[in-house]
Amino acid sequence: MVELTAQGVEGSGAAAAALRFLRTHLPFANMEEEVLDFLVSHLQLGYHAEGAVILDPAQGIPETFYIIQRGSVQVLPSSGIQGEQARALNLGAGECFSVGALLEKRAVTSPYRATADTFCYELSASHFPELLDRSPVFAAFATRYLASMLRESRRLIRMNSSAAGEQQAMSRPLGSLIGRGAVTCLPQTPVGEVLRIMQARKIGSMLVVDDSGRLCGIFTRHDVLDRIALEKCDLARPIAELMTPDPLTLPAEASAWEAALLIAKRGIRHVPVHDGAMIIGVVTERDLFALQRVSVHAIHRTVADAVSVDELRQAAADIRRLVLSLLGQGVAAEQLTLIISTLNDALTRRILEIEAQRFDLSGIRWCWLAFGSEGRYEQTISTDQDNGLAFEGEDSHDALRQRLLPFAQAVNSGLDACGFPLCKGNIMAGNPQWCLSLDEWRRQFGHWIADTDPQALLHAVIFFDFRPLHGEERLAQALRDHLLDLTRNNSRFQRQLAQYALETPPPLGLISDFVTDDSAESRGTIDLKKSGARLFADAARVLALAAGVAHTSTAQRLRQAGTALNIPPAEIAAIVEGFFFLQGLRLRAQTNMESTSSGVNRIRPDRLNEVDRRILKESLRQARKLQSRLALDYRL
Amino acid sequence: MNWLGNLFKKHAVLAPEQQKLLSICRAWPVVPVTAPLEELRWVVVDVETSGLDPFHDRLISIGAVEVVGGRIPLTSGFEVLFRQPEASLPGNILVHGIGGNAQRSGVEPATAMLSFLNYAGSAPLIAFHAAFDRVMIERAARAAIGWVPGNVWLDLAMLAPALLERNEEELPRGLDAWTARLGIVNESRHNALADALATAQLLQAVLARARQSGATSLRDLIKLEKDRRWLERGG
Repeated sequence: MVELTAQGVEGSGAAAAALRFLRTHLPFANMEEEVLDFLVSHLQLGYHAEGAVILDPAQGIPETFYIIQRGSVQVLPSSGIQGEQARALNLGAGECFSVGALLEKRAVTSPYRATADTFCYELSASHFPELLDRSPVFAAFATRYLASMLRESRRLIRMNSSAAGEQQAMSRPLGSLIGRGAVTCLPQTPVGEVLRIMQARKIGSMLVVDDSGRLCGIFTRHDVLDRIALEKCDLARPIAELMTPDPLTLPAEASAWEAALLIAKRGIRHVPVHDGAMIIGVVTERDLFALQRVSVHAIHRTVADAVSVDELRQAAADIRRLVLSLLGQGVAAEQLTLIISTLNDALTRRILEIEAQRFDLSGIRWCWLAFGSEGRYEQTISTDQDNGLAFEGEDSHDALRQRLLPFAQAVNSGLDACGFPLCKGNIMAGNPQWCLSLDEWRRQFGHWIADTDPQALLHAVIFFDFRPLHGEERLAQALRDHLLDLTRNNSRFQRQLAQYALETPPPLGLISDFVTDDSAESRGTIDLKKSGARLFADAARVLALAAGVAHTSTAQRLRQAGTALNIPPAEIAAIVEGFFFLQGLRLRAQTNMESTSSGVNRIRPDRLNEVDRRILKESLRQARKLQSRLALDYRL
Repeated sequence: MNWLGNLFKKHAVLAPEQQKLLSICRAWPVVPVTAPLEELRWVVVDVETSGLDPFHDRLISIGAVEVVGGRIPLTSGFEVLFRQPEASLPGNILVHGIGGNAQRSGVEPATAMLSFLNYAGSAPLIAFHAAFDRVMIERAARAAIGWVPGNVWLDLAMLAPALLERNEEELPRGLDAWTARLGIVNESRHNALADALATAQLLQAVLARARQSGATSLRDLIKLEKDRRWLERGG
């Protein structure tokens, strides 16, 4: 009988106002009408004075989900991050928080503070699961949350490390930058002659040296305009009259940075470089620019043109510099690992070509196989060799093997010289155990699959990720087909492999964020390979096997198997993003000199910046999700 | 008719249902002044009337919004339109937008008043320039049900300057100025419910500041209001 809300709700009530507000802000604007009604019927309007802390890590799991109606809220980066990195995140009207904390039932990682008088629509956290449940739109929004966090992280990388990468390149000694020898002439050479030489050899400067080889001047293309063209100078005059006498020089061990400084300070474009006694070349402004970006194309060319392993070593160093520079440009880890793999492949092929000429391999059909991370196209910078040879021929297996082994060993040491250390487990083509005929490989895989011994399984895991790198790819294809036939319907083996994939749990703690190592030499660190990226790779291998996917890369395995096994694409995308975040973090750890003390794949979570730490946790959660799926599928 | 006549006029006879509701309302326990602010339920009111004379003009509608523990539950606004014997003047209708027909088709006054009192319960009532709202509601209550509720009343026009602004020179004047300062959007000015909602948001800001400045109980706010009133008279 009592006249309560009915008259007000339509137009002027708080609920109506909230509805109107939500309908104009994403993701609520796209939300189902009945979900909006549900939402509004449980919302309260709260006020937070300027400066008030709305959410704090110390409060534990948030009790409330906030949608900012008006005002602004700042998310402060946690302490330990300084300077440019410490940019706070500002949230405004229509934005909501903290989706991540509520999704994962954890405390927020940094305080949320009102930076103006702020009104928020507030939903009790107890209704949050129901909201996710009722609204596919909101659930999708929450799933995209991880992806958006990853983009934010990449933006931070771009901001922070482009300078670092460049700096590293700029600290190279000038001696390593000078390609060809210096072009010189004597002081009495006529100007016309000097110009002809410069034109013919396409050089920007001529060094003038006296009889004893001492540098006495420099003449540059730039001087042509001022001193010759404008002055209508007689081309028969000796260069000594027109050159810049006694130019500034730098020793070969000076850094590119010093050269850049000198060029900038003195307004010159060319700096002659000496090795103490002799002039060995000229560093130009353009060389220094080039230093700041090594192109994929240039490395490819260097690799293709190399005729000795020695020349390839320079290319290998360039690959590492390129990775550093691309990492600095914020290139995503997926593309980056692919670029590394592509270039390393080219490098390895070139070594194989070079070495193959030195050995008599006639009558042998062979295929160089890459295993492990190389087999998965997931090489990072510091990767051991994992390779083998498959072959076929008219002679006996052993006879063919004896002819191939010296070649394989030469390739192994060539790769070692280029910075791919020999495999500690001796999984290399130069080891007779892994230089096998196609039949032997088939039998070997058969044994591993039939065998229930853990060591056999360990091998299976490494070798299953093989792909052909050079030679007769047909051999590798035959082996792959054979393998898929053996495993596709072998549920015992799949289950065993799944069991292996679940052996290492993600290093996530119940109380603390991360479970870090306890041993003396790596205290406080996480191994991003063993208890990070590998969790994804192992699980993806099982899924690929179950779905009959032939691809070896973890991302492709997940994507293709996901389609075959009806896993929602958004879920797969989140898992793949998580995997590549770990890979990116590994790459950054490997390029960071400080981290080498405790292993190239180790990082200290407490030294990461806020965003990265959050995403690291998120990514490891994705690994956990993947593992739970396996456990469920295989009832483990 | 003078105001004394008004005072002694016999109110309408209540129906049994209304009697029952009235006895419930009269039985609400009084909120003690020591009640902690943390959990306190407030009812923010705004009235629309036939004019600005508190002793002759009639109450047309009451809008109310509750603030519980500093928050406004969105679905619990209250609004009631009092049935009028005759429509107010055209100039007045332009202010609140409640037309003659709507005024005549409102809720019978005793029921309307009882439904408001039922919504308010024993909560402290608060409004901007509360004296006007208070007089209008109490007069209407006496006339309609023969009883005046004893709820505590507080005035936001006193509390807002006391808590939200240090600089007397820059004091906002009036509800609109205050809400504008806090960026509060009033979706429909001079609609009792919309005004109450805007006022409720001003109360939220006042309560947050009161907490910061050490106020813990209803009594602290009553004292703040009193001090401010004294200051304004003195100034």
